[in-house]
Amino acid sequence: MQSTQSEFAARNTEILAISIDPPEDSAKIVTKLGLSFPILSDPDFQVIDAFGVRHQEGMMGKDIARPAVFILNTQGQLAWSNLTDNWRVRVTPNELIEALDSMK
Amino acid sequence: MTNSAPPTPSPKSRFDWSKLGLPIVLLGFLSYFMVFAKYPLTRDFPWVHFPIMLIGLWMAWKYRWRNRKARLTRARIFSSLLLTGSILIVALFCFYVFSYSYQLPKSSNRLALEQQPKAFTLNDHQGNDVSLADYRGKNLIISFYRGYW
Repeated sequence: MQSTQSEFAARNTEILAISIDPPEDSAKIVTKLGLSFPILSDPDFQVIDAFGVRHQEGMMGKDIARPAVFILNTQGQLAWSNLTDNWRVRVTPNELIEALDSMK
Repeated sequence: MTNSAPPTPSPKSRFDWSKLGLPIVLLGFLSYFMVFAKYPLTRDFPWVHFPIMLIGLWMAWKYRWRNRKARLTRARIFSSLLLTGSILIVALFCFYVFSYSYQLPKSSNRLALEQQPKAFTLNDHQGNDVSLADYRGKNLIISFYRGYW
């Protein structure tokens, strides 16, 4: 996702990542992967539940977020989403760019 | 001694490569998580790993076959253990790839198209508040992920 940053910028698009990890852990990931977008921490499942992507007992009996990608349009409405059926397989940047282009 | 001579107890200098079956299977297994899972092409379907693990499995089987009538009980047991171990690792990998990673809940309560999510404010990785409202007028990609414990 990081690699196509300029493609997203050209489409007036920002990126947010969300997990239940505490900010300190997310900071390590941002540094390690050199991410230019923020990772938000949602330990109370406030946003995870708002999007309906809680995975109950998803990891060692603990609730987590399932991998999922949403695109909100400029009016803040949901325009596209992908909830993979296999958490090893994720959305590719190209799929996102195609989705953004089809939204116009 | 001709080529077709029955196998004599081989001299120590000759290393039996088929002994490495289990280590190769194990290497294939671990490398998926340590290296290849980072790249979508090799992560989504483990193209590289099934051949590696099959070769390892085949070697372990060969080693077992060679030792099926070994005079030493130890050699027979050892080769059986290597083969069993290899089969277990391959089975575990297949389970992970074909079953475990599909275990996701039904997504019945997901946010519907054209709906607006509730406003939210969360801490980002530097402890700053980030609100959904900050992104009005822009397209916003929100990516949820499993996190690391």
